Amino acid sequence: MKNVDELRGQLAEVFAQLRAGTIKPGEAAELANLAGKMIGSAKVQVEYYALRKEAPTIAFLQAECLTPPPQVTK
Amino acid sequence: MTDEQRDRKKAYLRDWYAKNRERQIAAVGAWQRDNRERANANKRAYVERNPERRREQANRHAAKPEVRAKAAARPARKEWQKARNKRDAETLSDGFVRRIMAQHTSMKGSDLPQGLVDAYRQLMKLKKAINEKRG
Repeated sequence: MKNVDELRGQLAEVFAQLRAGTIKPGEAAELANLAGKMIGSAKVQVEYYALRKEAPTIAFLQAECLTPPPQVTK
Repeated sequence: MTDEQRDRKKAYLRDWYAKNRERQIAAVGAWQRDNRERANANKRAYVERNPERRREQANRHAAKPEVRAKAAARPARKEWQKARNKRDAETLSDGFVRRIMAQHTSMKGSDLPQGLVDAYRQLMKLKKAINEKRG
């Protein structure tokens, strides 16, 4: 898993497997926990650079730069 | 400037402000009304420089008894907020996910990259499904 898009894809896969019953909730919870840690660490990195007023390329988030960001809906 | 001179100057300025407080506030208010764009830009710059002071000020304001009483006297608004939160939690809208992610951080929701928000939304969906399965 190299970037956030792949992580999202993996999560969607686990979600589908859970719905289909091919994976146990406990196993899915473990994966969700791990994904939460990865997202949390990326968020901390974004916050760190925001506080330093820097805008470097974060490899984990880089994939999204290939596509324009969707419009924010409130 | 010696310490004594500094103290005397401080005392003089404090006295001057006490005597001219109302006039000074009125003058600043008038300037802000006449130069709305510059005044708004100054305010925005201040908030950007001191986000924690802005937050403290907002918290102090919200903690005032009269403000709390006013909020409590508007149950319809409370109901509307409850309904909005419920709807947002069901639809997992962008704004909701960003708000949740930005909680307890120094960032605004809009500072977060879209990819990260999308991944977090997927995670929320998965956690919800896990909880439903577990019952």
